[in-house]
Amino acid sequence: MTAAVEHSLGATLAVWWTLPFAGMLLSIALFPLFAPRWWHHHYPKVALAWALVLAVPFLIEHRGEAAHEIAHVLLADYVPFIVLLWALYTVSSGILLTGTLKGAPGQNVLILASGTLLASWIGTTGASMVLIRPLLRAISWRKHRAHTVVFFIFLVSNIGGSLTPLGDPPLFLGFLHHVPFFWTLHLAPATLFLAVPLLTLFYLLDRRYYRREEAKSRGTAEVMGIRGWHNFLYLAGIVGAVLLSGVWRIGETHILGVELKIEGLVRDALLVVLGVLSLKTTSVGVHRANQFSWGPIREVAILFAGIFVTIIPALAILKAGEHGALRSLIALADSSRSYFWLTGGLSSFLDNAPTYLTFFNAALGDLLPNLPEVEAVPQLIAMHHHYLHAISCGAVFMGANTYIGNAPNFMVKSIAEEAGIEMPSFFGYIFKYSIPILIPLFLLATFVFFD
Amino acid sequence: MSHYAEFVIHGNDREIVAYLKGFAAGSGLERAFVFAAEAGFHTGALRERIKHHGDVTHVICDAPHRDRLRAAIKQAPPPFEFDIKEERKIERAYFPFSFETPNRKTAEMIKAVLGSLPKGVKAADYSPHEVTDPSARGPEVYSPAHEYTFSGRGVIEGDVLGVVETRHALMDIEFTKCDEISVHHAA
Repeated sequence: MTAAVEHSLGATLAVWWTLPFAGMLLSIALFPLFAPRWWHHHYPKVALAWALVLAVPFLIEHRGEAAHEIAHVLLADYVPFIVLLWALYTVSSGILLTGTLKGAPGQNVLILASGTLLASWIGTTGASMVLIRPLLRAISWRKHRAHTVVFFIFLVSNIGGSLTPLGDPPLFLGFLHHVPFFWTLHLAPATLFLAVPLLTLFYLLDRRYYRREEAKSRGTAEVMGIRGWHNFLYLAGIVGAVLLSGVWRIGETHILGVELKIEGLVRDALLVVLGVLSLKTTSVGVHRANQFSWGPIREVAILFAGIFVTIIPALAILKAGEHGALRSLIALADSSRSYFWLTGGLSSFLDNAPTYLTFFNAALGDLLPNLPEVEAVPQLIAMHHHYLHAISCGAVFMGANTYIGNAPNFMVKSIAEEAGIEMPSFFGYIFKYSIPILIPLFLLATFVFFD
Repeated sequence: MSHYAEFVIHGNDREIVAYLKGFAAGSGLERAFVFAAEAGFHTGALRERIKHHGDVTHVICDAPHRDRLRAAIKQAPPPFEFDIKEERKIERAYFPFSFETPNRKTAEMIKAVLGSLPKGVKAADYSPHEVTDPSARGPEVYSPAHEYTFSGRGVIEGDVLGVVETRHALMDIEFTKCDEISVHHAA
């Protein structure tokens, strides 16, 4: 589809076309909090319902254009997105950290720091899955444990995923939309700016609790080890395949009238091969110890199908810039600071991947209207890189503000609770940890990195 | 039923606590009385302060030892200046509790406490629910239901020191919530 058609569609859509998208995101945010058991059994129906609420009238009203938009978003965005997450999830599930550390503050810092680094390469969900159980084993004897899990959510499940498009879904969506693979390394100073004080604060807090706890109950260490080493090779393969698709230009092909890059299809095929190889070569024992199942990736696949379909009108309207129905939102975002807080504020309560895409398109619509994306993104990076910087940081970092800001947050909370740790409530997490610790750091980062 | 006594003592609260803890240690009465604030009783602190024109400390003592405790308070030597403003008889104590845990070990701990309540203490209106959902096993990112949940609520009531002991035991277990202890005074 040409930019002109996209532009004309976006300019004609009323704001209420975005309601199914809002409903979809609010369902993901609120049902797990207020009706977790019902949501567990019925979320596929909810996702399908929101997708149909959008698709049926959209197809009736806009026919060919609507059909093309739906096909485009599913083939060009959704499929590569799910294939990458599936490959990362499968390969990281084949890595098992064995043994037990003593749960001392220094060792806990080491686990958090390792996870922060690892998250950018196996994804925040993968790093959380690999490391949360060894951490919980290490601190099992401790009286004060909830703070350790909260800092794990801050660092491993969110902030650590900022350095590559593999780290966090929003950044991979950016990559699919022509942001170069290594561009995200520009986020490293901001990541360090947050990670170092957080690790220091955690150490001081944990040491204070540790000294109060009875020495006689202290745990004993077991030799640490890693099983499934060969999965690191597959991981390197995933990085290579993604990189390859960013630098190798073969050509285009068309499927259902949608233009797709052949290098992207090659990448997806390689990712599937690497995932299958991991499945075939990893021992059952490793998967069992990691409680490996298809459940998490199935959830992502189903819910993101709903998100990607319902997001179509929102993206089209935002791309229309000041000609679209969301011009007031675009007017609000007039500096990199405002992009950081708008993207971050919404990423705190809604899933950060669609939020990133929303503001990414808002920036393109505002700063480079009427340009095809393939031309607009390099210009955005060349002339307004601080906007992309702010959107990326906001989406990745502020997912840590609440349990619902990023997918692994809830997963980590749930695993910790099942291990016998009473985690703070939804608002307890916000008021006891996010507001006093994260928000001041984000405010400081605003003045240091954005203008 | 022998009634517990609640002494409402006017004076510096830290001095009262220090003096009476010393008295308890010296006379072997550590288990005979508790300080209401420490033990989690609802004392209506502001109302009591207004009523008694200053700080008051509530001490709750079992029946056999109340005379010794009263005497000890009245005979506190200078520089202590303690004044018993009120002495009430307590019939029984109670507190509502609730819990919800996805951890089987914690569930067993809760069951152990509620299954061996001290003499004269009972769990009233207690309704436990144990739910197992195999479909929720393993990590989940967007629909984090728990495979196992043990939840319940009720009211622990009866003998005052037994109720205090039970509250202490429940409060030590994660995932349990206990309200403050309330008392029924004797007429």
